[in-house]
Amino acid sequence: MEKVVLRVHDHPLLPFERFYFGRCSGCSREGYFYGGYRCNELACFAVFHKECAESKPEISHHAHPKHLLKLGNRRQRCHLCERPVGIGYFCSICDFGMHLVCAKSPPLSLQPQLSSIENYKVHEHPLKPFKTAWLAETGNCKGCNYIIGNGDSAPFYECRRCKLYIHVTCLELFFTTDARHNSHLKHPLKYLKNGPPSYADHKCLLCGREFEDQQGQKYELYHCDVCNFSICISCQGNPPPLVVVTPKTHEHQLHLIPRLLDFTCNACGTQGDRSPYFCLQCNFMIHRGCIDLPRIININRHDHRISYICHLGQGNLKCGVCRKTVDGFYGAYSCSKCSSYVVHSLCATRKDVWDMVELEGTPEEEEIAPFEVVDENTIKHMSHDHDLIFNNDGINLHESKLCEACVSQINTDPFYSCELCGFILHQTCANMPRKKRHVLCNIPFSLQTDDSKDSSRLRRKCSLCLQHFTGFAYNLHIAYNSRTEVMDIRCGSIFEPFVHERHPHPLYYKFFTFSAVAKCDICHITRRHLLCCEECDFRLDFRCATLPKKVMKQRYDDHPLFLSYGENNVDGEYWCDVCEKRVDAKTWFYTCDACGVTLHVSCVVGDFSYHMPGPLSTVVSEYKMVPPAVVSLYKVVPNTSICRPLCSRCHTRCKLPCILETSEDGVNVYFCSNDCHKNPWESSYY
Amino acid sequence: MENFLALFNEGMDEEASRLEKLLPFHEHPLIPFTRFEFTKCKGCYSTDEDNTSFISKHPGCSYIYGGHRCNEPGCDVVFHEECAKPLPEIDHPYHPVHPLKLILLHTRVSNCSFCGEFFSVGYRCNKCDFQLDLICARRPALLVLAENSYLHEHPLQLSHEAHETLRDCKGCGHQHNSWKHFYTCHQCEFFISLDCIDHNSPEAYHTSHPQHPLKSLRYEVPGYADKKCLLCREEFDGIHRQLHHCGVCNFSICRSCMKNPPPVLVKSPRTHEHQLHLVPRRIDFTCNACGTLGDRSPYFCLQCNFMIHRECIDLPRVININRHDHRISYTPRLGHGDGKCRVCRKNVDGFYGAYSCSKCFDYFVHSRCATRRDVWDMIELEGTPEEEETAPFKVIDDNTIDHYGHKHNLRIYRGWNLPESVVCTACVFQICSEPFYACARKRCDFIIHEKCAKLPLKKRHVCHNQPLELSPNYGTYLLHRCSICRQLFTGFSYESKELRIDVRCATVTEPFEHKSHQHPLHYSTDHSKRCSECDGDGKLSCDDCEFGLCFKCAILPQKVMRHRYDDHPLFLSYGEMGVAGKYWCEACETTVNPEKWFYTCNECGITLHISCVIDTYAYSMPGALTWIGTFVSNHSICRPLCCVCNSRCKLPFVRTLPEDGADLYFCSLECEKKIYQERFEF
Repeated sequence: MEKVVLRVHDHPLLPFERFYFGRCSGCSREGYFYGGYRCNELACFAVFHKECAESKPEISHHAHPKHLLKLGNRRQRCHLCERPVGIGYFCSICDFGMHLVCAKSPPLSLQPQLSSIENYKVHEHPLKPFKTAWLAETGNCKGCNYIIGNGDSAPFYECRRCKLYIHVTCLELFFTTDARHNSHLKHPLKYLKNGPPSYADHKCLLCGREFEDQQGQKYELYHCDVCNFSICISCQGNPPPLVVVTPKTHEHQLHLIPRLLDFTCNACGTQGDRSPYFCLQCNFMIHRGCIDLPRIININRHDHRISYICHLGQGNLKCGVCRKTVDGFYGAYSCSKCSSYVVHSLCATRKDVWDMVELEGTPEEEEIAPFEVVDENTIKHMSHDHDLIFNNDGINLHESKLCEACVSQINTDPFYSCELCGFILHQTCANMPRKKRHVLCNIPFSLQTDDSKDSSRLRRKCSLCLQHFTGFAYNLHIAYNSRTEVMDIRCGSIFEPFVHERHPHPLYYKFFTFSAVAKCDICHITRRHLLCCEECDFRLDFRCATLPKKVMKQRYDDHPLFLSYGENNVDGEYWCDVCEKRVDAKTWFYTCDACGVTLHVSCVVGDFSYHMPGPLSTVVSEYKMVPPAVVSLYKVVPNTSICRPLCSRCHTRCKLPCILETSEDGVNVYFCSNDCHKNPWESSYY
Repeated sequence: MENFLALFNEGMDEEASRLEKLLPFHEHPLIPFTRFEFTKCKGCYSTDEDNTSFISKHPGCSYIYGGHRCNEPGCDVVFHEECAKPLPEIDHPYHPVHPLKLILLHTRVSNCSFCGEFFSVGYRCNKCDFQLDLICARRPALLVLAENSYLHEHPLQLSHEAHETLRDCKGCGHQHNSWKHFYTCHQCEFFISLDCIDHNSPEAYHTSHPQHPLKSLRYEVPGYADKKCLLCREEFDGIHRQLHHCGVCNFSICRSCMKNPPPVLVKSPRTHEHQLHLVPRRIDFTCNACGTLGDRSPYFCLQCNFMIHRECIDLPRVININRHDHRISYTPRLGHGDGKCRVCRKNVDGFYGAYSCSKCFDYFVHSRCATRRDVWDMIELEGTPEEEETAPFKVIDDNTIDHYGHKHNLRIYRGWNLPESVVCTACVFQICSEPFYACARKRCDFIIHEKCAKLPLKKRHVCHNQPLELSPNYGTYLLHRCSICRQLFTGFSYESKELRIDVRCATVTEPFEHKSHQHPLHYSTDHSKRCSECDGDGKLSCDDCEFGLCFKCAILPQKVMRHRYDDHPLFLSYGEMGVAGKYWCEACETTVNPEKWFYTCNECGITLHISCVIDTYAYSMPGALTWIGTFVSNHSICRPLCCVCNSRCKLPFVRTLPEDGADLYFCSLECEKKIYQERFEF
C-alpha cells in the first residue's frame, strides 16, 4: 500500500479498489467508484476517480492556445461551462480556468451539428438543441440533475412545452435506446421508462437500487426480457468491472456473477442476494461492497486498533457494534489485545463507526498522558501550571469547591489540588485522555481544557445533553462538511455498554432523525441522542444519565442529598423543600435518607449548575459584529446568600444554587435560568 | 473362446457410434449419458453391497455420475463408464504371476477367488484357477498395512481365505461370514472388514474441498454444522451417523460422497456447450435448466452465467410421459408467459428450461416433473422416428369395420334400444340406446360400443410410466382384476408387464371432471386424502379443497337399466341434503342413507343401494368361469334360492353349478367361497 503524492489534492492519496458510492472531488460527479484514489488523512474524506487523480500536471488546450494550463485548485468559473471550478486547469498568466472534465471535451468545430430529436424514449415530445448559457427559468438536467441555464454553457436538449432539459452528453450516457452491457452480452437491453415489468425483480441486479420508491415513483431501467435481466441507468452508464484483481482480498481473480443468488459472503459472513464476485478455483464468494476491506482501522467503539481476519475460528462471539453473533467461519475484525473483541466487517466499516483512515503500515501512536508524574503524590497536569497534590477524599471540602474539569463537587472522591491557588481536579477527570473516541462521531475527539487567562470562563454547549457548561470539553471539527461537535466531560465518559443503576439492562447509543419522535423515559423530553435498551423499550437521554448521584446543599440539609430513581408504595406525600410544592414519588428526585427531605431534580440542578462561578465568555462567530464589552459582562454567582436575589424577568426569588448576574447602569441584575435570561437582541449568543 | 474374442473385436469396431454394442453381457444397445443417477450399476453391483449399504435408505444404490444406459422400454439398466467398457486384460496384485483376461459367462456363474461372490462378468487366469469379479478387479487394496497404523499397532494382513467361524469386525461391530475381504492380525484376534477401513480413515482430502483435510466424524455432528450433505442433500442420520467435516470452513459431506465423489468438472454438450464447474457451497439459486430453486452446490459455467442443479445435467431432449399423448421436447427457454405445468399444475417460469409439446402450443411441463420416474418411461427418443398411431380398426365401407379385437367384420347400428342383458364385449356394460357395432355374422354374438371400438391400441396412463397396450382378452370368459380399482372384470384391458387396467379406469384422464364435484380432479400419489364416498384411497384429488375420489367410485355408471325394479333408467345420485322422509332400497328392503350416493329413478322415486345395483360381478360377462361354476343373469321371474344362505338371490347376476341334474345357485362371491371350501376340505 503506497501513498501517492498527486497535484489534485494537498494530502497524499491512497489507491483503493473498494466499491464506493460518493462524489469525486475532482470532477464532482456522484456515483459508484470501482476503485480509485482516496485521502487517508483524518477527517478528510476526499475521493477521486483514478483518471481524475492521475490528471496531467500541465496541458495545452484548444480553448486557450496562447498559454499552458496547469493543474491547480482555484475558486473561479469555468470558461467553457461557466460553472464553479474547484480543482481544474488554470492559466497562471491570465484569468482562464476550466474543469477537469471540460478539458477533455473536443473542439467545437469537431462537435457534430445537433438537430431535433423526435420519438425519443426519454420524452414523448420533440427535443430541440440549445447552447444558451442563461435561461429565464432554470431547470435541472434529467440525467445528472445539474442546473441548466444558470451559467452552464454546455449544449443540451430542451422541450420548451414541458420545460424538460437534458445535456447532450447525459443523453448519450444515460438514455441509449438499446444498449449492450458488459455483464450481459447475449442480448441488447431495452430502455424502460416507467419501472420494471410485473414479473421482473424490483431492484437493480448489480447494485441493488430499487426501481420504485415508497411514494410510488418509478425510475428508468435497462431490461432484457429474454433473460429477465434488469439494471439501473447508473450501472448502465458506469458498469462495474467483470473481473477484479485485488490481492488484499483474494489472491486470484474475482469474477462478477450477474444473477440473483442468496449466498453468505466469505469476507463479512452476512447474507447477500445478488451478483457476488466469485473465485471458482477457491470457492470464494464475496459482496461487491466487501472487496478491498481495510486491514487495520480504528473505530469509535474501541480504544485499540482492530484488524481484519479471514477466519476468526468457531466461538460464541458478539459484534462490538451491533451486538449480534459473529460467524467465526467468515471474515471479521478483531483486536489483538482484547481476545474476545470482534466486529462484523460491515459494522466496522460503517461511516458512523470508522474514521475512514487505513492504518496498515502506520506505526501505532503512543498515547500521550494528560499529566506528568512528579512524585508519588504529585502530578503536573496539562491544564495547570502548578503542581497538583493528591488527596484521598474531599470530605472536608466546602460544597463550593468544584472540579475544574467537570464543575462538580468533590464529595468523597479522590482528587488533585493546587496548594498555591484554588485549582482542583477529580482524579478521574485528571486521567481523561487527550484524544477520545466516542459513538457520537467516527472521528476522534480532542480534549480542550479551559483557558482562563483573563479570568473569564468559556461557556459552551454539549451536543449530547444540550446543556451549557464551562470546564474541560472534547472538541471535534471536520473541515470537509464544517461539522463541529462539543462534548462535556460527563457525556464523554459514557461508553457502550452503559450501565445505569436505574435500569437492569445495558444501554446503547442511538441517534434519532428529525422524523422519529423519541423521548426520554425520565424527563419525557424529545431528544435525538438517546441511550436505548435493546431488550425493552427503555430510553434515557444524556442529561438524565449524567445527573450527579450525590450533592451537598447545606441550605436545605446538613447531610448529602442522593438521587432517588422513584419509589413505589409511598404512604404519604412528598414536598420539595425548595419550591414548597408536591414531589411525584415515581419520578427521580433528590432526598436525604436521614432527614427525609425531598427536592425536585430541577430545583437542585439548574441551567447554570455546570458553570464555574465567575465571569463568562462565549464563542462569537466571526461574521457577527458584536462589541466585545457586551459578552464579558455576565458572570455566574452562587446563590448562597441569606436573602435570595430577585429575578429580573420572572420576578421571583431565585431558588437554584447558581444564577446569572449582570450589571445594568451600575445595578446588579439577576436571572435564574436561560429562559429568563433570553432577550430578543441577545438570544443569538446562547 | 474364439467366438468370444471375435465378438469382442466386433464390439470395438462399433465404439464410435452412439448406440454402442459394447459387450454381449447385455442384450440391448447402450447409449452414453452424463446425468447423475442414483441407481445400481448392473456391472459391478453384487449382493455384497447389501451388507455394507444398510445405513442407506436404498440398499445397493449409489450415485453414478454419467455412464451408459439401456434405452429399451422397461429395461432400466445402468452401467458405470468403466463397467460398460472393461479392459480386456489386466494385471492385478492379487495374482501377480499371470495376467488376467476378461471373461463372460453366459450360462453359468462362478465365484470370485477373493470375495467369494458369484459373478457373470469378471477376469480369469487361463493358467491357474484364479478369477475376480469386476468389483475386486477394480479395487486393488494393499496386501499389508504397516505397523502402528491408525488402525492397529501390529501389521495387518489382507486375507481372502475362507473362515468358518464368525468374527466381529472392529470397525462396525457386526458379524461377518466367510468369503469376505478383510484385514486380520496374526499376533492377536484383531479383525476388520475392508469396507470399514475406508470409512475409518480419520482425515482425508476430497476433490471438492482441496484446501483442508476432512475429518471423519461419527455421532459427533457439530451443533453449528448443516444437517445435510453439502453435495447430495442426504441427511446425516441413520444407524451410523457419519460425515466428513472441515472445521475451518464448515464443510460437511456424507460418507457416500466421500467414497464416490461427484466430478468437479462436467462436460455435457447436451446440457451446455462449456464445462460446468462444481460450486460446493450453500447457495440459493434458480436453476437455468428447470427454473426451480436449489439450495446448494450447483454446477456453474462462469463464462455464460449458467447455473444448474446436478440432477438437471443431461436432461433428455425428446421423451414421452404418461400425461400426454404426444412427444414433448426440452426447450432451454419457453419465453415469457403464464404457463402451467401439466404434471404439478404450478407456474412454469418461461425464462428457464422446461418441456413443451410442438403440437399443443400451450402444453408445458417442468423439467423436474417431466423426468420423474413415475411420469417418464425412461426412454430417450432423440433421433428415433416418431411412430404412427395405428387405428384399432379398418374401415371397409360406411357401415362396416374390421376391428382388431374380432376376426369378423362389424357393422354399425344406431337408434336401437337393446335389452339390458346385452352388454358390450369391451367394457362389459349395457348398451341400451347407444350406438354400437355388432358382428355381421348372424351366429356370432360379438357386440361393442361405438366408443369402445375407437379405443386406441396404445395408451398412456398416469398410474404407470410405461405405455399400455390394448388387449382384447381372447376368450371373454376369463376373469381379471384391475390393478387400479381392484375389481374383477372380463373384456378388453390395457396391459403392460406390471399391471392390467380395465378400459373404464383407462379412460380416466387428467384433469378428470366428475359430476359429484365442481373442481377438476388430478391423480395423486400421496395418501393424505380419502374417497369422499367410500372412504377408500382417494387417488383422484382436488387441488382446491379436500375432496378425494377413488377409481372405483369414479367409474360408476351414470345410468343403469334394471327392469326388475323399474321400467325407467336408474340414475346415479350423489347424495341429497335435507331429506324429510326415509329412503328404502327396492332390492334389499333396508334403509338408504340419502347423504350417500345411491341409484334412483326421477319419475318413480325409487332408490337402490349402489352395492345392490353394481356388485362384484357387475363388469363380468355372463358365462364367465368362476372358481367352481359359471356366471349367469338373474332375470327369471322366480329368483333362485341360494344354497348357502337360503335366501332369494337379489343381485342381477348369480353363480350356478350343475350337479346331478339339479343346478346349485350362489348369490354372491362369499357364498361361493364357502361351498368351495367345504368341497375342498371334504
